[in-house]
Amino acid sequence: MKTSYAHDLRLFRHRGDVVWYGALGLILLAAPLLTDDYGLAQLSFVCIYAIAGVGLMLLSGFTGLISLGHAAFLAAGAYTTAILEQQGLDFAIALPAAALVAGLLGVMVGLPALRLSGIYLTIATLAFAFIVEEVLTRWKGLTGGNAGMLLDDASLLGLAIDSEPRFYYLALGLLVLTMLAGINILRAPLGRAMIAVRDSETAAQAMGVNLAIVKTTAFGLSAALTGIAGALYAHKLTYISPEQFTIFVSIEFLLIVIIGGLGSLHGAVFGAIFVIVLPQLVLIARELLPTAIAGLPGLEAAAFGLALILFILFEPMGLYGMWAKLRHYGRTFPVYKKATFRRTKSFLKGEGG
Amino acid sequence: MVEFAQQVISGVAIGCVYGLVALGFVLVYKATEVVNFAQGELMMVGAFFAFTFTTLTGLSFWIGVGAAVAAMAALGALIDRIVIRPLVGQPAFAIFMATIGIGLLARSVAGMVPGWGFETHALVTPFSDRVVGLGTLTLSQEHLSIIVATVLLVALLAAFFRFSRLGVAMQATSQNQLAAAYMGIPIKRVYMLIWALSAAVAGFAGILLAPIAFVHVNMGFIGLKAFPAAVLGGFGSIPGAIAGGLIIGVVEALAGFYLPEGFKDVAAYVVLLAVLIVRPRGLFGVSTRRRV
Amino acid sequence: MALLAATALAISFGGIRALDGVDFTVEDGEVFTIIGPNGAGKTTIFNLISRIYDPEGGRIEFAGAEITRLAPHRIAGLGVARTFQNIELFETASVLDNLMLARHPHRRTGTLAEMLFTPKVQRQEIAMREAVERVIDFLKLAHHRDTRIAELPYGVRKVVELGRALAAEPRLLLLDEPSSGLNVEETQDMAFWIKDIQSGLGITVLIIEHDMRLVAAVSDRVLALNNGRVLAEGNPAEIQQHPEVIRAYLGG
Repeated sequence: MKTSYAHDLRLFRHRGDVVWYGALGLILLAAPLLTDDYGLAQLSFVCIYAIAGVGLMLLSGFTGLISLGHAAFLAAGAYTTAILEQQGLDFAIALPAAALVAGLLGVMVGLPALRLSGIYLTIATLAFAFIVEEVLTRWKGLTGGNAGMLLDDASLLGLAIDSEPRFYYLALGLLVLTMLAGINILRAPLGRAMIAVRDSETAAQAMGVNLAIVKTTAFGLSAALTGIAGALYAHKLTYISPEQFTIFVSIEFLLIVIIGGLGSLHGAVFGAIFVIVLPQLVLIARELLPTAIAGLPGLEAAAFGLALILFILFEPMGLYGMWAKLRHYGRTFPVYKKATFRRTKSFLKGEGG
Repeated sequence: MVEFAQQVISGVAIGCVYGLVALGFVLVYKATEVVNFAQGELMMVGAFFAFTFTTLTGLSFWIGVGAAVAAMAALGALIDRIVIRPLVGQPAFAIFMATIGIGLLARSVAGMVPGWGFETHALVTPFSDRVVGLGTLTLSQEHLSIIVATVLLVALLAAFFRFSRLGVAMQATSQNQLAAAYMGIPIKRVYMLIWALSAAVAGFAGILLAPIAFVHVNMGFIGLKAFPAAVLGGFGSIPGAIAGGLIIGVVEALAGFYLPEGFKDVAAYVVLLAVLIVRPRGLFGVSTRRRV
Repeated sequence: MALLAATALAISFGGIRALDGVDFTVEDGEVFTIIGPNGAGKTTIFNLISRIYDPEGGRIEFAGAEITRLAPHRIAGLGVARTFQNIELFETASVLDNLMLARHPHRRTGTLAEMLFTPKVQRQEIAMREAVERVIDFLKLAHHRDTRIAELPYGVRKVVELGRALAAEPRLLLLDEPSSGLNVEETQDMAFWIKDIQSGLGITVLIIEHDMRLVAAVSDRVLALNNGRVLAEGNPAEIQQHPEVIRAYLGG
């Protein structure tokens, strides 16, 4: 029973949620006891991709600015970390610096992007990412070029992050903070303004939303979060080179937010899980398939492409959408209405969907 | 001076390829507002088809090429029928992502086809390794054939759109879908044919490109430059697409020759960003505004 | 005192003179309606006031201050709110969130504070919520509070569009064809609301309307527009009998 508006603002609006999230939290905290180093490493990757996913979700899912160039912000975070730590700086300094550099880069992209809309914006982000990739390759003095850069274990205020469990807790902690930041934004004026910008720029402006500020903030924030993911990414891989920040990575990020469920923060996590789990499934499939097919390279990319197409065709609301339907079914049983989730279609050209 | 002219010619040649890929891309966009991210991959598949039908199966070059283009048309129609048509009515972004998926799938499947794989293949054409002297310039017949073929194809397409019933129907469908439907034009079928045409043009571009860039699954990256070309041209304009492609091609060639290493690879994208900053709707684009 | 004053407004679109020297004033507290055939330039006037377009000539003053070339997002902060002819609601958001956004000019917190959800942000949210709930009560939208716009029927959307403009607590409310698409009962409700808004909330209302009964029922003064020019101005009765208005618009 709700008794005040403050109730609606609460993080957990249903009492049941506290139980579920509490259980989830306990399992996540106990993960080092439940799985081995390999499993923890995978979980860490999920966290890293989820952080970047939240970043992209805020920009593309909630503000409606589709970016095909987020690998550039991941790279900014990764390289900033590598370069600063090469100078002997602690991770506690490198991490915020990574976020800052990536965030500034995001603002740099966002400002000229104000004049661009729709596909033009997306292609501009693509072009931007290609240029960044090239700069990383050519600026050998700063980045080592194609030879790349090596990283030691992170040192967080003196504490060495030199084991999988420690790294996992670091990544998990940052993910939780990222999710909180995202949730907070979405229940505050900025989040509403972002959604307004996505759904109707004209109305948003008429209601006092400064499009330039909201879009630039969205870009900066999104980039900064992806930069944080980049800092973690660099340490997880211990070696970075321009080849790890190609357009495929940007596409992978978009995959995360689409398959996860565009328009929901949880979608970022679901999407990250999917992107990490799918290659594992392909590995298993390889053992089951006849050797002729199993030995083929490119099975993973094919699986991703196919998954993307299938999700868009049959479950456009993504994994989170499937989860929401399931939960709704459970809550409204037996008066569940299938049509609740049917999306309206727009058929005239230029209607903007 | 001679080198400059040589670079320009080779730039024009590759620009023709960019322009053709962009043209196929714009054909679909004009009609359906769908942005086909996989256009570059279609070009790649077309090159592979040509390679298969000529080199692998030993057919004569011209028959092999014809078969490849026909196969591409069928592929385009198939893509429309299976993936695009069910998505009618969905937001543009969803369809765009679906084409990204198609691109990923095409590239990886191409790597898995026996005989294709991730190696580089050569497409032998009647124009390979032959040169033509023109004054002080030495032009490779490959470059020349690309330019000539492009001119011929564009002229053919222009005539097709202007004078043939199907071409006019396509134009009508592109401009006003509802009105075309009311006039009795079978919209769905026209869309499928537009996709077929677009894929065929992409395949044709791949065949033209193969002699100079070799047949390889990464050809799609070259096709990615069709985006800057299309944006330069204003995204809804067919002559603009070709013009955009030519500009990109020439700038790229000159950048590769006069500027330090690496500039050639990003020249297309730098030009794109520069143009968009000044003209957010492309060079020839028209500003469309939602009426409220 | 004139709350809104438009002088010699002029604008063309691709060679067509949409507005050709339009003058009018809206007095504080009145309900002022603009009528005219389609294409007369009515919505264009609204679009100039809410700064979607820049006029080629003329000026607009609101509460004594010139707003002719003001940035579009500053209008709401001055106290001007509008509805759109074709409804520009935020489709994926709930009714509540649509209305809450109208409180945006009252936002006093920044990005960082909102990320941390500080007590100031929380208090602001509750204050905004209280203001919005008053509008929800007024328009009887409680039923639909958490429903996504995409799932609402047209008639309810029109009401939400009105509610969103009201939630901003404006001094001047611009209603673009509030009765279009509504049936007789819904139009009746709209008339009641407009009267309530004027007398109960003290808001000045500028309306574009085609339904002459609604116009006659709520308006203090009417402006008749045709081909971008003013035909006549006066109270509803005068306008309905004005020969040129009849010829251009009302038939006969």
